[in-house]
Amino acid sequence: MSAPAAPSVVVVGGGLVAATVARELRRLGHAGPVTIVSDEVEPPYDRPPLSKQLLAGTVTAEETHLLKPGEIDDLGITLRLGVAAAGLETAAQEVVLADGVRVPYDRLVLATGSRARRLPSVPELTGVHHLRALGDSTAIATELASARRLVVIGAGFIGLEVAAVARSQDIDVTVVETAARPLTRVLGSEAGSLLTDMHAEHGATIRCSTTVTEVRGTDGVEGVLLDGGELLPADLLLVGVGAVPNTEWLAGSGVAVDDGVVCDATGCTSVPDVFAAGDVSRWRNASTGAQVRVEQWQSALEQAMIVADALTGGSREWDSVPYFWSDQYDTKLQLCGAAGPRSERRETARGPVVLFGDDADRLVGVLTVGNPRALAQGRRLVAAGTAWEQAEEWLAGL
Amino acid sequence: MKVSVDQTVCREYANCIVEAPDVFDLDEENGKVIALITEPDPSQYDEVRAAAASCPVKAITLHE
Ligand SMILES: Cc1cc2nc3c(=O)[nH]c(=O)nc-3n(C[C@H](O)[C@H](O)[C@H](O)COP(=O)(O)OP(=O)(O)OC[C@H]3O[C@@H](n4cnc5c(N)ncnc54)[C@H](O)[C@@H]3O)c2cc1C
Ligand code: SF4
Repeated sequence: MSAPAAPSVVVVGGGLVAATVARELRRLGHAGPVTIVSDEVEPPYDRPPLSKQLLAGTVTAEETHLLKPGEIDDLGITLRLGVAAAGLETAAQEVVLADGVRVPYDRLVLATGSRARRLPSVPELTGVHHLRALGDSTAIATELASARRLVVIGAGFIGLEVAAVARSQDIDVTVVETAARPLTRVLGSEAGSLLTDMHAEHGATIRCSTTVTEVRGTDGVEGVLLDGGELLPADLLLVGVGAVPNTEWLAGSGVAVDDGVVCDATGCTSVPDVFAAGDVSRWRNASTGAQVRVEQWQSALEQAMIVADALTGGSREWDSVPYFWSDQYDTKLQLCGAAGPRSERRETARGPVVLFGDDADRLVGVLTVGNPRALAQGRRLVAAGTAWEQAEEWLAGL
Repeated sequence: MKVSVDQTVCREYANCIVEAPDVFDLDEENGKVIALITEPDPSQYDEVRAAAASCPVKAITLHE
């Protein structure tokens, strides 16, 4: 393939993927124009601190910015902030913005991420929050300062992290979860109880198999009604029930969407010259063959780097083992791969380690608590398709 | 290529170790990142770059 003559690249979305694609394109020698279009007014920033260090006050909003001051100029990229993309015309190769402006492109990267899922039963009262953007985090941080009772709907990672920060500020915390255990979908049933225990030790209550049927309050939130009839008082309510990919603006564009933008292992969508990466996308993993929407930092970063490679004529494929971390109460919880039907837990000197296996007796996932070194080893074992027996030996030696 | 790490910003995610296990490790004492090799072999450049990129807090600096 001959080197393309400096095509223009437009990235829609202004998060981790956008910042990484822009930086990588320049590192790989792309000389054409690079434009980032984002509906947010802030330049790209990092989301993990929003439910952790930014809430706790140990990291400032500026410190979450992904491109250092001056770097945007040095990279020679154009940021169009505060305006959403409303449509895409792939035949004309133009992105149509909400204000009617059309942005032409030679190559397009879809990086609009996802948004917090809303529950129809939750009214928009003062004190009711979702957490996805910087503004959500600073608003919650402000209210935490005077809050006395926090209720979190959904025992997902974000909800549990906010619960942990609130407990460290001596706020009364109850997490209400419909499923029988926290994070069953991600961690399997056994490992979920690990989290229940950790929160109980710190005085936060996780009420599983319980559903919020109604949110009470006139101006501000006053409490939630549970399915058993009990009224839980609350002056702060966080709804953390997952995320939905931002794909509506692609309707009619011809880009295939099925719970996220469908991508091959190089990030290419169903339309040539249109790529996607990160939370908005569902990539094929070249090593497992599975089509997955990952919604994790490390995968978004890797996919962004692979797209930049493809845009500069490369042919790298995404084949790595997904990896996720969460910080709760000064403890680092890390998961690589996925939970499987088989699991084994061991208390190592540094903390619990859980192995997950599939029906074919292969290691498919490793969860560690406060033991990053074991996670690093475990991720390599998962990537190598290690047999269950061998993985058990490794676990016994930790 | 020269590799330097900043223990004061490292938050022990170990992402770097996953990418380049022969180049990075965590300090037994304080749990922070250490570079086992400061001048990696050219055959290791790709994984060292991947390690630096995968650090969420940019604790690894490469001088190329
Ligand atoms: C509170 C929180 C905590 C997290 N913690 C962790 C963690 O501990 N570990 C982990 O592995 N992952 C974590 N994640 C997930 C991780 O942050 C995401 O995987 C990552 O941000 C994905 O990057 P992205 O660029 O795909 O999407 P995003 O970062 O969401 O960026 C998408 C961008 O597109 C913009 N946009 C959306 N629609 C449009 C439109 N129509 N036009 C223009 N722009 C648009 C958005 O405003 C945003 O700027 C966390 C996420 C959140 C919200
Ligand atoms: S990835 Fe960064 S934060 Fe994590 S151990 Fe390595 S240097 Fe430290």
